[in-house]
Amino acid sequence: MLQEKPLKKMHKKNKKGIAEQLVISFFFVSIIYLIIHVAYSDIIYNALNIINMVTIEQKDITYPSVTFDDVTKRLIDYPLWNTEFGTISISSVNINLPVYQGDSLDILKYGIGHFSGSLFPGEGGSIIFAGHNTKSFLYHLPEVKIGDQIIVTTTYGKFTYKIYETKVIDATDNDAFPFYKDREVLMIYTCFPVNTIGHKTHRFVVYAEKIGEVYEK
Amino acid sequence: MKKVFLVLVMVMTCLVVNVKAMTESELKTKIANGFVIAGETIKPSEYQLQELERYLNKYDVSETDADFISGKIDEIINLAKEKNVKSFTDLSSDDKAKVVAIVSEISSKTSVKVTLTKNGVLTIYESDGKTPFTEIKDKDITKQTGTNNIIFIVASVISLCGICYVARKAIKENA
Repeated sequence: MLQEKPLKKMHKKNKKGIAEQLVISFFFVSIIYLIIHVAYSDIIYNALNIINMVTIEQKDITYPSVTFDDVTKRLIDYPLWNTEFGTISISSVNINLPVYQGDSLDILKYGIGHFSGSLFPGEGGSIIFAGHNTKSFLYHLPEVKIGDQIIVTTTYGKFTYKIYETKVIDATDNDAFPFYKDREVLMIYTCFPVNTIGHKTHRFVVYAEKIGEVYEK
Repeated sequence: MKKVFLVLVMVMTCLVVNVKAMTESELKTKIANGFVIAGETIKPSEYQLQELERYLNKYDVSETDADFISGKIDEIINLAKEKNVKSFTDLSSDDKAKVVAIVSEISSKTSVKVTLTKNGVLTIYESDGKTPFTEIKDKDITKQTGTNNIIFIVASVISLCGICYVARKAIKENA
């Protein structure tokens, strides 16, 4: 009986010691994470971008077969929801990303989302792309300049667009996305400002008009 | 007996022919024209119509299905008129449940596979009924494309707690 009490005390002390060590470990891991996040995020971003570029260039295109009607300038088979159907490249700000059909939050975790109500590249109308404002996605989008080029590559063709306008809009401003049927305009947006925490009420939108197209035969 | 049956078949055929079934394009026109609620015409956006057009390009909707869907749309519009609301989100919880039930009836009784959640997320599916064709969340085009700072925030909180803990311990030991 007399020996049990010091034993219990020792166990209690040990448990407290383990808990303390765990707390301190968590603390150091968090500090290291914060240091990496703040100090090396640009390096991580560039590394991810290089990986993206390499993988995009080397990847065998396994996109769903999409048929494009040359006469009506319309897609016949549409890419399925959540499938990758192309890539987007804005070399002036080092953006090289895959493009997916649909713009749900699940899809936007993996790349750029195509708003399914808008037309597809090559169809001659309004195209809307969305992407997160994180460093792996469209963090540098607000740095684009008027005249910069955007290249969208799909299985049925390669399309070049020239930026003619950029603006910051209210998130609920649907009029900022005009619906064109006779003029091919690519509109890409991300949450703005890019370097703040919390719910974003504004969007940065890039408007680019098609200046070139090469269709795959 | 056989004659009676033949006459019955003829009458039924005439009835079917005389009842004008709604075509796919008529259904599209009906939706495109919008609906008047509380003196205001509520119309789908050009982008929503584009989605509808794309769906109808891909899938055929039979006249029977178009008729059924048209009737169900009328039910929803009548409910909105009765409650004098212009948006799904303005409906009461019970009324939202009624609309959700109407949409699920469309899905179960026609070839158009569609679901609506109480949060107002309308999903139209491919013919397999599983793969989404499109997802319409609300009237706004833009989505929340902000940074996911959860890890950053959690790390900051843990670091702060850690600093407090170490500081408290140091004060205690020095006391």
